[in-house]
Amino acid sequence: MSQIPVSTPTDSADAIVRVQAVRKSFQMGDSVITVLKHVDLTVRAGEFIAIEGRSGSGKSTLLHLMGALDRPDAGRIDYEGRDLVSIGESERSRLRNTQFGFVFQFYHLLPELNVLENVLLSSMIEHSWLGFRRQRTALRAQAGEILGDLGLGHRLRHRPNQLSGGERQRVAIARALMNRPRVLFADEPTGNLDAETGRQIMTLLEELHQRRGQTIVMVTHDRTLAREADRALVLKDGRLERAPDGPGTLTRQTAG
Amino acid sequence: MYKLHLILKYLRKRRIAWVSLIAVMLCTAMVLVVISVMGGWLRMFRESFHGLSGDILVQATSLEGFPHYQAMIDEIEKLPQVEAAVPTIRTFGLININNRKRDGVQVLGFDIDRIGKVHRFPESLWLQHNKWMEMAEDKTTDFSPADRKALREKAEYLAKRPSFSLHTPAQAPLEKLPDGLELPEYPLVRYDADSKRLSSMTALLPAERDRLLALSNDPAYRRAVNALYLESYAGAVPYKALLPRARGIDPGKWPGLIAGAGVLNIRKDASGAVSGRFSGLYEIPVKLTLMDVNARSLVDAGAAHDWPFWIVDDSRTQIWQYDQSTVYVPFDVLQKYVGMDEQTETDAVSGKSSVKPARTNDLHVKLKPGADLDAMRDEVEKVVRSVASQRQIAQVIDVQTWEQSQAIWLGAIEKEKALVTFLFGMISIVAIFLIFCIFYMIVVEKTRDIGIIKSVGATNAGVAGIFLGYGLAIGLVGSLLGLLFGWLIVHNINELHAWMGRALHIQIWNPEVYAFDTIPNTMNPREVMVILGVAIVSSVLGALVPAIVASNKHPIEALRWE
Repeated sequence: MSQIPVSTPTDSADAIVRVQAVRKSFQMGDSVITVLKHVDLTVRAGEFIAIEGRSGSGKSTLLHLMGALDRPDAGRIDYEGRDLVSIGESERSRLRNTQFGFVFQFYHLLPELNVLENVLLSSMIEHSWLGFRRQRTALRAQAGEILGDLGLGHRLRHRPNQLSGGERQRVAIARALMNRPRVLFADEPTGNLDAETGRQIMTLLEELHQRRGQTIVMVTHDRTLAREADRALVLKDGRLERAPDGPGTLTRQTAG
Repeated sequence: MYKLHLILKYLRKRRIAWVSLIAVMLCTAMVLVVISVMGGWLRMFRESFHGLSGDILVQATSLEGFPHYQAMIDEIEKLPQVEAAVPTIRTFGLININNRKRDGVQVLGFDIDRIGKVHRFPESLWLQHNKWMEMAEDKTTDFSPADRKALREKAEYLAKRPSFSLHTPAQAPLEKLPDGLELPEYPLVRYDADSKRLSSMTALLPAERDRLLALSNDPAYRRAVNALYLESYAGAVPYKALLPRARGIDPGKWPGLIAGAGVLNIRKDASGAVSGRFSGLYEIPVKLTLMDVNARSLVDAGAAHDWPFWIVDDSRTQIWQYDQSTVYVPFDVLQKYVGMDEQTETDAVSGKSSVKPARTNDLHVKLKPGADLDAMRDEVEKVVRSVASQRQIAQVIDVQTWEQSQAIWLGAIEKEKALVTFLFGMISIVAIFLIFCIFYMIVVEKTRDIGIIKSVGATNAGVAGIFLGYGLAIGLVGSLLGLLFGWLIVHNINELHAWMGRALHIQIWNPEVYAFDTIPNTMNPREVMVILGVAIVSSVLGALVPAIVASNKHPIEALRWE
């Protein structure tokens, strides 16, 4: 297995996220565990990357670092040429709101809000009270359309606890797509679902990637699912490697 | 936008927060009730004190009084902001009420025709004001609105013309009432067919006479009404023929005395029932023992004399020390009885005679509306000093505003109000801790939600804003509900108190102690605004630390929270 190179001259033109020599450790009691030792990765526009690894290998940590939810101990993470590590917290919040979308294993929907409100949450955060009031009809229509596309048009007023696991995950995907993110980060999106429902969610992500050219970085421990991405990488011993039998290469894959 | 949305959602869905809301509501209501009752009490005291005092008081520091007061009055009344200045005499005596009660009393000499110009003493009188007002307000009678209006007018009419005269019931012979004539409820005139007499319970006013005359053209009836009217003002004294002359004064010329209700043992219990007032009370003769207050040498014996008076009315000023131990007599009478009238003295050595001018103890000065109290006090003092200097007045004279003269009493009540408010305010701090604890619980419980909100782009300040806004919303809703609850209690406090007395036999408010029959039940808008503001700020303060904790939560740690 060869180590993934930081970048190549051909990468730089359409790279969205670039991870360079990133290291991340966690304090666990008296000991320090370094989960990411030296990670380099370039995510290009329109690419569907799967990162697989065993539980505790640090794949979710890498996803959080790329999505500006956390900061590395060392190294550099660029989003469209801007250093994500050194920018302030409010700017990172703005990027999470407008440029990135997150789908988590446990859906992470707000129980007090209904389906429509959960999907509109990122728009509510993006706009001021007045701004949201002005565009409310359009934003509601957009959320309704996304939910309709995901087969949830009849569930708008339902609360998360009235939905099945698959439906909840589709609501989470709809929320992540609401602000039209450049990159969709999916952290074990099928991890909490049965095989059939998990398959439906994967089909959904593939469709998003193929039909809309959505850039997706997905983390999974399921090798079969990882093989469905353009590029499958393995996180092992704190380093990123190309999956031994994965579909992707270091050169760009054409989506769709 | 999301902050307001989540705050409203949390307010409706998180029922644990309702506990803080109820705490804020109860604390707000509690402080409002306390401050309203105490504030109302203070306000009633102030009004009562002020009602028995001019705006500015010119007072002799000695009971001996000061002379040339008329010259001072003339000068003071020239000041553009002064409405009137009236002298009063203040001394002490012993009262003997019909040989049944002997007591020490403060004796005030009022010029009854002018006293109404500087304070509201006439409105404290029973026969000459309150009796008619109470009748007008009495819901148990079936008086028509016109009758009630006439009764109120009578009360006002009498209070504008108070007197030390006896208010004797009048009677006039009448063979029979004109056919078909029914006497109205008011004025209180009745016909007794057995004795063939038309009788009135009290002196008839001209308007009341006219009202009765308008009822019939029957000459005999009209004669009887006119006789009734005339007798009302005849000043007939029933004891005139019965009593021996006292100190050479014909009982028919004995002066009138108005006694504080407590002096006559007239009392009002918690239910509002009055005891001690009976028919005939206002014809009882009393004896006042008064001291001559003229300065004498140490070895001379002072002169004390007994003086007869008729009780003509009672006064309820709602100030305990007045109602319990003060009697009021005509100014000129008291001036003479204590030796403060104009006197001619002959020098023992030279044999030359000189005139010692009349004296008074106090001048009550009433200002025009809107006058600056403190500035006018200074103006009045200048006039007093100037007259004192011109006329070589040796006595020490103080000039004070009414507030300064009652500073000890008012200050004590103000301090009591501040103390009680402070104590209840301290109790209310419990509400802040309750909010803190509940919000902290909510923040811990909502840790994952905080992670979710941050993962979709909420800033630290935004998350803090949700919880601060949540605290603000609880403060707003809680304090407004508290205002409503507090208002309901304060507004119905007398009914609640009466119910507690009836059902639970608990009496907190004793009219004897607090001087007022009813518990104050009005709210001061300014105080309400301050209390509401403090309640809202306290709620936000209670939510402050939990909000900071929430905003500082790391999104990843929050998302992993279980």
